[in-house]
Amino acid sequence: MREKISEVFLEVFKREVPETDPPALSDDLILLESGLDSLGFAVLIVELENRLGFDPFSLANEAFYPRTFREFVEFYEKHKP
Amino acid sequence: MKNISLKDLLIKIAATDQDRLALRTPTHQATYRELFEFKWEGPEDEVLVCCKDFINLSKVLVALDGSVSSICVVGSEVSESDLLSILDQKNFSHIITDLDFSERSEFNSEETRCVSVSSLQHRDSLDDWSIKNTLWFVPTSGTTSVPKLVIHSLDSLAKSALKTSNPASAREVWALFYDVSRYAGYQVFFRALIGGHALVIPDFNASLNERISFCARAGVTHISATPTLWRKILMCSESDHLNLNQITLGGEAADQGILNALRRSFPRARITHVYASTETGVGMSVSDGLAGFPMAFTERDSGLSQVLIRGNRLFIRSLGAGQGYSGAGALSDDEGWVATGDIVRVEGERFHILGRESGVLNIGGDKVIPEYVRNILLENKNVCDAVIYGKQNPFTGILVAADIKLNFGIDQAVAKHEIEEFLKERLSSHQRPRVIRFVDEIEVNLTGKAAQTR
Repeated sequence: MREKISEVFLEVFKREVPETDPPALSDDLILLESGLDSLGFAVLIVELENRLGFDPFSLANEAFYPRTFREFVEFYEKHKP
Repeated sequence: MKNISLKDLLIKIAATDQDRLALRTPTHQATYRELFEFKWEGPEDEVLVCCKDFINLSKVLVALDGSVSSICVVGSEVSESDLLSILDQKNFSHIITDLDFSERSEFNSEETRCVSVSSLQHRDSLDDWSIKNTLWFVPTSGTTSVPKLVIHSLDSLAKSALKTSNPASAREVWALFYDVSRYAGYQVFFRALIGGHALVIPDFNASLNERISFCARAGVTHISATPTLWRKILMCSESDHLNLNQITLGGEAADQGILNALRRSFPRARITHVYASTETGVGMSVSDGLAGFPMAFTERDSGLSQVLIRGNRLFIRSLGAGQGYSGAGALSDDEGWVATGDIVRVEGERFHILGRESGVLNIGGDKVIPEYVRNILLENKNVCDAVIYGKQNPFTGILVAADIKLNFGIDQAVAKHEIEEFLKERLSSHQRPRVIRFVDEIEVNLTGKAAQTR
């Protein structure tokens, strides 16, 4: 899961902010400081839904706003159907 | 409340405690007394104000209101096209700015005189007020590519602040996360200052986490922002240090998810979502933690505003409404109702704002016209037909999506790359479709339009 998410993250990053070097996807990477803006995250989630077949943000009962890359990946793992 | 100027209102606060803090930026601060620094000696004319320093801007507004016939504020980061369009709509006699005149070539005009903030007269006494009814021209957030100027008075623009201000209430510390030249920004500005509170202005160029950190250190208690910005605030680690009493959401519909998430993160705060626009003023607000608005709102008069649903269209009659568009007719019908252009869905005892009648999409508070995006897309050589719609997502509320029918024999992978590059050159970040789907046929509904949001 983590590998797949990292792969899609970097792809989306390259497309959305081509002029910036992508960040190292460490556990404690602060998402808001990764260089992707909220539109970028919205795109990432749509792209992940296409590849993984699910969107945990619409499956989860409670709204969740992950702060770090680890929280983001864990949220996908937790809500995998 | 006629003929009361911003100075009159603030002088009452300064009279009780003139060293009371009014404004705080990361580098400067100003007391209420210091807001009266400038005096307008020029003619009672129409004045455009463009300042990068917020304290300068506030002092200029205090000097101008009541002394000139009209004020229009534009942000110092305003785009060239928006600025030219505003200058085109009104003949301003003066532009007051703290920018180098050379920074904005748009200011060079034979009819308009540029005045530097540093050359304004200093006020030596507080008893030389003039009491002209100044009009405030407030640009809309550009539902079309051209911002319109809505005519307000201080009384209408600051209506909810005037109604709620209670000098005896506890000191509040507000933070500004909106562009102050826009309607939502004015609401925060007036709520803070007319109420005698402090207004904290974070550095808009700093990261959101740094801005939130500054707000936490400055003891901010009140924040008003769009749901999209609130989602980002919750993603900031520094938001754990905020100690909020009041959370306000506006500019786009607040969904249940963000309301619940805010409740969990700020259990002590009152959470209010507001329906307001530059044209209607504040139409309604509710603090019960539920998305949408109570149907009971359509049966009452809040004293400030009334709400009407006709068919699925929303109408507002408000004391805070604008008087009209500059150079055009009235905003409201004979009975004072303003057609908001928003459509609603009634669900039991509640109604929800679904989107714009015109199909305009609200992307995190920025307006996008699907037809405009579609026309750009149709200019691309690969595209046979396309439809633009909003796709729900948890981060921006809605994302611009496009279904595209390609011309015969075009390779999808090549076309996708070419189309993305093509759109990047022609559309701003929030206008650009971020979800592109290739389809064999474009689906339309009975009215010939594609569904607005999916």
